Amino acid sequence: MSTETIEVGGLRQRYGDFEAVRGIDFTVPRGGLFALLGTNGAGKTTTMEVLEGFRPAASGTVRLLGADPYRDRKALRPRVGIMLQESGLLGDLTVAETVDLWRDLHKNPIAKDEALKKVDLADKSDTRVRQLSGGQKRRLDLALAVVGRPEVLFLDEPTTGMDPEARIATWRLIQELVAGGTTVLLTTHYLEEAERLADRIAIMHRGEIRIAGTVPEVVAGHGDRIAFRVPANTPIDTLPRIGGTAPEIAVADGLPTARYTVTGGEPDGRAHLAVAQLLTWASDCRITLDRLSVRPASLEDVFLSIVENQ
Amino acid sequence: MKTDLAHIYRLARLDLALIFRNRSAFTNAVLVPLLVATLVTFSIRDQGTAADLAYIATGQIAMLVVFAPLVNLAGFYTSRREELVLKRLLGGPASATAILGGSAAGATFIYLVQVVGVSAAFVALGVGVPGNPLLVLIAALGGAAVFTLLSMVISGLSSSGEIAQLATVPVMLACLMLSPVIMPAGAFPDWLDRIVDLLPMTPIVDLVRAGYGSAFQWSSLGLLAAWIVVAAVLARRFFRWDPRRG
Repeated sequence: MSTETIEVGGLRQRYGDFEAVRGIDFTVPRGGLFALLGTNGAGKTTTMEVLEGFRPAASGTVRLLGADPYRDRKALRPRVGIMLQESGLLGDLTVAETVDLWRDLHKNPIAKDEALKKVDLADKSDTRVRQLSGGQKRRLDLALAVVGRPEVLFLDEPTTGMDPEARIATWRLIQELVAGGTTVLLTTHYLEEAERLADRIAIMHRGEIRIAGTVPEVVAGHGDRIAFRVPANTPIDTLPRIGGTAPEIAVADGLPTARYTVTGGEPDGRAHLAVAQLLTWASDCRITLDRLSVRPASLEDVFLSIVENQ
Repeated sequence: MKTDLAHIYRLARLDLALIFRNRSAFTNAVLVPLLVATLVTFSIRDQGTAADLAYIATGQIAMLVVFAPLVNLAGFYTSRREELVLKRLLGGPASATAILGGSAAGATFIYLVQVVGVSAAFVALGVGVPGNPLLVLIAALGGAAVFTLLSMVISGLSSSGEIAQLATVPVMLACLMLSPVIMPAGAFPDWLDRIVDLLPMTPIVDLVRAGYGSAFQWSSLGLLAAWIVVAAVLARRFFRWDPRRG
């Protein structure tokens, strides 16, 4: 018997001639938090909707808690919490009435006050939903997703529209749920959110998973980044090639900045060699390297390299 | 099944509460039908015979079914679908049957209350009580089933709540002006009468009148059952959960 809460194998999904998902595979164990990253149209939401049981898989295997999410959705839905990308809430109800409605639909819900407190909406309980801000509606939607004590939580861009304080509070709530054994599948545009919350991530692009693993696994192999401000009166074409690579020139704070991506060699040694080469060049040219920085590749670097290069 | 019934009850209560909070829904589902029934009935009372009054009164009992179960529900289903409310509910523990059935039950309840209300008013006007109230109840419940299912069909073909309500107007007019609600039976040319006999409102009004003492015909019951099946097939074919926009 599988120990995985979510299993996706060779999933494909098509809308007419457009293939939104092109054969993806991933699993999420119980109590894991898996983040799907990607640009708009990458196939994240389609993948979520298949797992949520809104549509059947066109081909491939999809299992949720050991069952088919579409065929067995009636049995699965009470065990699952779903937060859609857009809130579908009744504007004429108050916040408290909305939570009451969802509590009444569940067999063993958490208390209304507890649900509202979790998302910091206790002081808005008598407010009509239509009067809430976009971020407050997202928080109410999250309360509805967790009110039934779900074993699995699907969060489709949960913090979009939230202010920084609410976003951090939401991250804390998600971390508490995961610590309590809830399995979470998350999509997000915020890379920081994925880095902070996810055990494992996958970057989707044009319907395919281009890379997946833990954040260190994903960024490994994408080299190190060296940058410095191009000194005044230094022609760009005189900047050195490092590891055989010419710098990319970007503008930061209104001034040109040279950026190198150093790959190949041993991860522990390649940045040292590259910096030594750079410092030798600077010494020879009697140049001071202003704002010199050396860092490993970030998730953003990997994301952009996938999205921009393909 | 037990859970579905509990969910239907909860969602019907929700709809009833919302009808009284939403001015447009309250007008369509409660005010307009009562206003129309009152106007039509009183205009006949002042000008027609007792038989005319009984004919119109029983027609009004059937006619009320187009308001809450058709006009208002088509708007509810469509606007909620476009605002992703239906999808949000479908993502919860309630089944599709319970979500759609809850709203249908709420609309049916309003219709039944209206039927009871106008029937009581007709007693006061001298029309009398139905000799066979079971037939009136069957007509009302069967009619509500047909028109709630037709509201799903219209919703599936409409891109907004307003358009859905507009799209119910031709259906409503055909039912009111052609079926023997106001017009006497056999008032049209034969070819049109044959079509009128098959309209969904015709068996409803025939059964209501049978409940009030006219001759009962099994064909009316058969036609009503056939309309329920046809409307259910069409609703399954055309109703949609995902918004039409975007």
